[in-house]
Amino acid sequence: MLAELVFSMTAMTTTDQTVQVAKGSKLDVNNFAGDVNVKVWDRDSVRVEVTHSDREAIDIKQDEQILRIRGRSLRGGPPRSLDYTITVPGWMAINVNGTYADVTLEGVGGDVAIETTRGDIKVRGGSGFISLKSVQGDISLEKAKGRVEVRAVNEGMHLVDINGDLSAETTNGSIILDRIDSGNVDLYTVNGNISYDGPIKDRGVYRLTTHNGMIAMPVAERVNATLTLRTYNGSIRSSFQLTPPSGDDAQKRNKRMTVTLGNGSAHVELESFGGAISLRRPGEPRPETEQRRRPRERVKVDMPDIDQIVEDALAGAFEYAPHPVPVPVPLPMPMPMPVPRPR
Amino acid sequence: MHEEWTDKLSDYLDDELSPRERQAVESHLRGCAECAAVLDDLTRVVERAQRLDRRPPRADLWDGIAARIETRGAAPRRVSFTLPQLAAAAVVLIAASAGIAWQFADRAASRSADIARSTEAQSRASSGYEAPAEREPSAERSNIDIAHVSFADAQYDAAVSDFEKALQNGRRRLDKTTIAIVEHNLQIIDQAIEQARQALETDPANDYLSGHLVDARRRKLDLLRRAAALTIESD
Repeated sequence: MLAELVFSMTAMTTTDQTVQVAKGSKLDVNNFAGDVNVKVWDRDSVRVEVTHSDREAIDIKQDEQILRIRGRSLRGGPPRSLDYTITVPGWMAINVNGTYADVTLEGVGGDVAIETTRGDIKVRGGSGFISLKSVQGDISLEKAKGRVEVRAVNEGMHLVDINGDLSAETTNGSIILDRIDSGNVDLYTVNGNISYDGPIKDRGVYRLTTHNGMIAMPVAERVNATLTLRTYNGSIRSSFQLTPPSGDDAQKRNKRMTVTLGNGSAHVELESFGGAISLRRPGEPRPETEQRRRPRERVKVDMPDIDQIVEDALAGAFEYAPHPVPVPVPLPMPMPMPVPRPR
Repeated sequence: MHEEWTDKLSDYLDDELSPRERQAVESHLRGCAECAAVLDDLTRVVERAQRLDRRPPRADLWDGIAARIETRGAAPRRVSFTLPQLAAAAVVLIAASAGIAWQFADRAASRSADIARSTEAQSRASSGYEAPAEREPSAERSNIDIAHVSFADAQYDAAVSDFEKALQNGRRRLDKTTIAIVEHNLQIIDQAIEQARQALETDPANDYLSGHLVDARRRKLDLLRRAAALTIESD
């Protein structure tokens, strides 16, 4: 009540400032909490709009080739939540840091570096080096090219229309990729699915690893790749016939397999300790998209549903297995964790 | 026990003994089944390590290790090991050599010697052995230099411990939800590590499991480092 009264007495003001910037300049924003929305225009200047109380000040400083934007409490400590709308030239490199900040970049065309502790990151565009990091928050990236690095912890990520080297890691979440054009891919999650969609390039390197989850990848009929598929407690499934080297027994083929396709120049390593590895032809439906979806869960500190884990793993494994295979026997103690679902 | 001979087996394998020493070792091996068996184990270990794929090291892991090397000013240590340790280490190495090999593939100047020596590091680390910098002075008298190899495990454990302490010290600077998220995810990684370890116990020759275990441990180090950094940034 008292807080509401104090708040109502606080005068609000708007900072709306436009600054000329030289080509090659970089934007550097630090926002403790709140939204940072960045959009582009065709002018070589940056417009900063933010509404705040008279207890906060917005510092916009330009030195060398960096335009720095900071919120500052006039009474000490971090400022209250600030929602920025920033308009930048398309060529500008963007750097945003925050603790409780949701960051959205729309149509940017330069380097991008975003790091937030708890907040969603949504980027459309980016060229050069793109680095996105969040501990708790969704990460999505679209239409980016260059070298992409994405790091999450307690959430998954969705990357679409990426052209270039790609590295993505999370601990508790799925990695879902659509229309990827890359010859260098490294994906890692501890507890989540990995779904890849894109061509396998000659001499490319693709490493997809999860501890507890499914891996799904399309393999074209005419591809030059050496596939190394390894699982410990899962199984290997394919919608087409795989011909492993003779001599491998059936048990091993279900867990570990190396297959050379064409001249084998690309190296594809798919490894899931406890989940299925599922190969399909391009254009065929993705197994994980067939599974029913669950509402978004944020901080998952609840107890796991082991039956659900097993059910999902088996469902994903068999829905697209054209060749009948023995049912894999789950370990007595499967990974006791909830399996995140792609949204 | 013939520690004076087992100490020389690694160098014997690497052809680093003088002709006179080599002759003496061979003479001893002809009459000592124990040492001959140890040599056989080591030979298999080295051969296996040499067949392993060379994977590029994940840069982040090396950064952490390198930081520790710098902070400790780690001069090469020379330590000895006993026959039981060596024998146990040979078994452990089967499971761990893949991870060790790729981590140091581009850095180890003497590959086969390193792999053989790493047996001891692995063995000691798995039994809670102290980090090299904390060893007793008497441990420095032997002929085997394992310092750089031991970072694969003992130094890793030390790095994890350091980050855990840093996180503990700085946790008051993080909000409860963030702490819960970090701890929950560390728990997830620990579970993955434990499952990989258990799997390795039942299938110690599985190089996939070795690499998988290394990956999971690296992930834990990464997360701890990131969480520790958050405590600093939030200060």
